Amino acid sequence: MKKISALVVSALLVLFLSLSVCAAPDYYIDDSGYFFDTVNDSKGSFLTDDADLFTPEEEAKLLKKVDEIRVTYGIDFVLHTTNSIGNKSVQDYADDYFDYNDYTDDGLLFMLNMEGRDYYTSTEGIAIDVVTDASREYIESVIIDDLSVGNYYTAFDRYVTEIGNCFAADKSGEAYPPKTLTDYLMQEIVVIGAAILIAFVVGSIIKKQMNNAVQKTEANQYLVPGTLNITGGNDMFVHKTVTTVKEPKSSETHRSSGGNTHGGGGGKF
Amino acid sequence: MELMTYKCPNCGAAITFDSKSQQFKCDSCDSIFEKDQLEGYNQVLNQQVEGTPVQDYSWQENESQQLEGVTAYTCKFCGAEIVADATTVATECPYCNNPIIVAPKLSGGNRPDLIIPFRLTKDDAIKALKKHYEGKFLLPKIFKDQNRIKEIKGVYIPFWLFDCQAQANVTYDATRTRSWKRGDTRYTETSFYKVWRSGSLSFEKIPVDGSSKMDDAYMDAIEPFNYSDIVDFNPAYLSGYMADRYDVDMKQSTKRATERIENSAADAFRSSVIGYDSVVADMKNVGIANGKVQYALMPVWMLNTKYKDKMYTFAVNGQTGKLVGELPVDQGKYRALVAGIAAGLAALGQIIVFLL
Repeated sequence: MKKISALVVSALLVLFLSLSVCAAPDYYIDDSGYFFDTVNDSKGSFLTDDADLFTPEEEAKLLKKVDEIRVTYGIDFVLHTTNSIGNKSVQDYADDYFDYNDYTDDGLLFMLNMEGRDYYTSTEGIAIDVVTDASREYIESVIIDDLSVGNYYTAFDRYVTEIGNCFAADKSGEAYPPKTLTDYLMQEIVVIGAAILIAFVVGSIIKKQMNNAVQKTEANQYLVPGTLNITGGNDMFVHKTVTTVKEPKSSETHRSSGGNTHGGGGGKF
Repeated sequence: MELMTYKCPNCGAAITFDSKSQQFKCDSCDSIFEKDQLEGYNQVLNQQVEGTPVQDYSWQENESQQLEGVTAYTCKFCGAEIVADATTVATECPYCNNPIIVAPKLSGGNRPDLIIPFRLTKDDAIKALKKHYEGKFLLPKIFKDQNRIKEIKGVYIPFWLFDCQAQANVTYDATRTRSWKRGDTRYTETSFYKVWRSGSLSFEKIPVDGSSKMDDAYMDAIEPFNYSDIVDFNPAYLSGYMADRYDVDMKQSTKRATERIENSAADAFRSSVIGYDSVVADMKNVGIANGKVQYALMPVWMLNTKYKDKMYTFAVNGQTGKLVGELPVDQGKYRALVAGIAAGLAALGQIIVFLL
């Protein structure tokens, strides 16, 4: 009896195993060469939706956009959501996620932590200079409303689009964050103001030329040549002062546990 | 406890030596100095220069005689006092263009010691003036058209000429700056120094205008006169020209001479203060010896034009041709100029910003 049941169990086991292998593979490679891990339900290493905020269609759309940016600018762009980050701070978690998961040294990670309702961007390499604190804050300001009400796909989609714009602007030399009407107005005021100022200065100079009567305060011309005789003197040091001026970089950077320098920042939604 | 008092080079307060701590320390600014430094500095401060202090010097004039053989005129409108010899026809005041009258009670004034005769003719002066008008965009058109230029008059202006030998001590405040960057921070270090120089220098014939009617600024600007042409005075040089009878007392002129001597000493010594990023003269202590003053007449072609209730004076150096004067500014043209430049620059700025 024991022997038969063992056989049956093993046969069933073999059948079961083979079925699972044939029926649903734990991974597959798609057309663009992406490695999709279905067991962990993470689609490619560039979008890991551990908090399950997106539908598969949404994930695919986001990944497509992320991939374009990846390929165009030569960086690794990673999106990540999770329900908990344990005891770590969001900064450490994000930096470590980027460092320890084999991404290249140039890139950025954007993530949500549902437990603490944190969003965070971590940058490394050239992304630190391209995604300045000002740019990052601008992008955060346009997605924060969607994040707060739960439109996660809209928020992430916008985030990815804006990062694309940021890199494109950096490449073409245009300004990012994009200039608003107020910026243009300020620009106009500066241009016109400077023009008026310079015009007045030039006008005054020309006006001054109309009068060349100037009093003399010295008599250097009447110095009898050869009579100047300097007989003594001294140079004495009195005191010194040192002034310091901090000139900060374009974005604040810190070192992660992996030893790499990271930039970035985040907030609560 | 021993107490010796010195002056602090930093802030001027009194420094005392505290033999307990064995240091010279300033209570006001906390600076610490070596004895040698303090002694040197205080020596300079208290040092007497040889000769009489320039402000107190009493300049010796030559024994002056009266100028004779000239007719004295006075202008009722502006108070100018002019002398001219018999051959000169003096009808208009060179300062205000009103008719002058013979003033029999007025003497010829002091006889000058020296004179530089006119080199430029009236035509030369007129040419120089016309050239000066060219290219002056802001000049009102009416001003140029008024055909007053031929009214230009040749006048000898009185000057006091100062000779002297001077001893000077000059103190300078000097700084040297260093700048470097470490990490995110830029450091700028400024070192302050007190520098002093002493020495001697001689001056010859520093001119100070002796006529109160002639603006000092004009006469200074018309300098220099070439002294190689200076000769002993002879009344014959006056013929055909008018001469301004001096009315600024020599003693009043010394103040201007003093200031110029002091500043020249500071400028001359400054050339020996090297290796600093900034040097500014602070105290000047000048003493005079062998001072001499002479009274001289210098040639000037003068034209006064009235425009919109204001008198515009032109002076052409009658020896070198240098032209000094104030031209009126047409306000309308000025505003148009400024507006035009502003518009042009604004357009340029827009294009540049657009291309950026």
